[in-house]
Amino acid sequence: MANLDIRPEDKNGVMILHLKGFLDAYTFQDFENRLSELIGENKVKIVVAMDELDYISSAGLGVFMSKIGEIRSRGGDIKLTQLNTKVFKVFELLGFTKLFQTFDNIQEALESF
Amino acid sequence: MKFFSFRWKLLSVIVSVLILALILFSLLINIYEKNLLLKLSSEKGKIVNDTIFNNLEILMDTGSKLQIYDLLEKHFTDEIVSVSIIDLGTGKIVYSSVRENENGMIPGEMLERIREIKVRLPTISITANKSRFFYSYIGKNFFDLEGDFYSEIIYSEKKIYDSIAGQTKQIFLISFVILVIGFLASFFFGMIINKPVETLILGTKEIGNGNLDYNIPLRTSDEFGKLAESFNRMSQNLKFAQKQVIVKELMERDIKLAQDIQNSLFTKELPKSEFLDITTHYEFARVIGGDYYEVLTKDSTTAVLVADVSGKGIPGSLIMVMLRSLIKSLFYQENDLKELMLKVNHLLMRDITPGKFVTLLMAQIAEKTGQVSILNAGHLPLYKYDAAQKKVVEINPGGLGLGLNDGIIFKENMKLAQDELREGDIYLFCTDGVTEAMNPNKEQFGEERLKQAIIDNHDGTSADILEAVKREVRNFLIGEELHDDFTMVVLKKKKGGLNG
Repeated sequence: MANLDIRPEDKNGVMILHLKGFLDAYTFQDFENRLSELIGENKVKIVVAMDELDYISSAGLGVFMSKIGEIRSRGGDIKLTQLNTKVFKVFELLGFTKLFQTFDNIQEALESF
Repeated sequence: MKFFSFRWKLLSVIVSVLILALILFSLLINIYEKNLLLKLSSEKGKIVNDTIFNNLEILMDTGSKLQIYDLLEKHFTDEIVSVSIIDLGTGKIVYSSVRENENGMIPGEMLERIREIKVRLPTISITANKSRFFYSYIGKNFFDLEGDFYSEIIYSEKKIYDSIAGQTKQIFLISFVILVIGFLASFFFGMIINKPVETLILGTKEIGNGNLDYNIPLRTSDEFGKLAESFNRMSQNLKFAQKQVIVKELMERDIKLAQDIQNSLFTKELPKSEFLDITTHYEFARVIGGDYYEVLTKDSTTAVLVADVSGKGIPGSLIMVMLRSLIKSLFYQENDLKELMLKVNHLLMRDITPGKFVTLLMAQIAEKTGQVSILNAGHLPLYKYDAAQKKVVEINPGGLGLGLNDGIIFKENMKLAQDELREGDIYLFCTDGVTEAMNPNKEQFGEERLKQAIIDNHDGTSADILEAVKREVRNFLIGEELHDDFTMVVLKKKKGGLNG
């Protein structure tokens, strides 16, 4: 079974989560728990870096939807960066690119806050 | 059975060990006793010899026999060693510690032999043969006296053995007593062990018969008590595990019921159509799936939709049921496909949990004209085999998944595509369980393989095409299980209608 590796990085109050591997029905819980922890600590300005994310399934996408409401209500947001072609296609197909801001690099995402 | 029980085994081991120890013990005692007696006898013989030698004169005077007795008697109380004094001239036994022999004659043959010894061995000598030890003293002074005398001191082996036998008897008597004590001791010892063992046996029998509430009543601090304690713990754990099994069985039964209900919700009999040849297929990766398809007809239009709920299992299936109810009730009220979807989304949004969403692809076909409206809510595109161009094109007007947004974003992005079906054209609707079917090398089946399978089999019926895709996917998986629900609808335009 493929794994998901989540590496957090604090950049002047903005949390960058580097995702690596597979975000699917087997791993989405890890990611959801991590987001819940960040909300608990009121770290709601989040950048998700996906340059090393190989695959995302609907369960993985669900995590973004389940948490975004609370994050935005606390004045934060989730910004997506470095989506590879395959992952971007999945996001776009579902209309997620209309709901989330995407960036080519982390710097732009950080500046957008 | 009882005879081979632990108690008897223990008993026989203890008794055997005791018997072996006693045999060894008496053997050692015998050897020791024999050596001791032999040593005593030879020492006694020497003393007698010395006494005779030192009292020769008295000895010669047959009148002082009483004195000889006084001198020698005390040495012969045990009768193991005997002494005889023989007149070599006449062969008469002058003195014997064995009274019956006194004043008797020794046989002539023996007398000759003793005389020979006297000639050959003029000095002190001690000789021995197998049957008896005898010390003979033939002293110079002795023979200077009137007449020759010979003293023979005999050590009787029989007497020694008799003496030892007496002692052995005693030993055996003691041994027997020890044996009896040992027997009783091991019997009671066996009882002490046996009782808790029997309690344990009874307890395990109870537990084995399914009485998991049974508590083995053994409260000792030894190993047996600990064993009973661990048995009791085991039965508690078994009870817990059994409960879990029951709960699991109930759950599985519920899941089976849910599955049956879900299966009954799928369109079983496809509407008969003069112009369209339709085949559907679904397979769930888990017991309960989150995929959904539907073929509906209204007036002279046929609608086909395929949907995928994010998340499988019970939550996914419940949303699927919600979606089905909405579609089924709204489809007949709403002719405009976009309006239908806005309503479905709006109603779904109210009840759906955050994070859950549905992707849906729907086509509404006017059978006679072949005019088609296509709507896509975040789903995979519609794959169309264009018979005229002999290639597969993707039709995707674009739109957000259902349940993500109920505002302007959803509405603005929801678009309709128009198409026209002609004879030989094929539509393939599927969920990502098909395109993302993953083989052991973590490769996905992908759209290209799907398109190629359609092209390769476009001559066949919708059922042929569907089977061909399934076969291709199966070959691609190399035995790997499906990890997502697998749903497909294939539609082929038959000859006929306005454009056919």
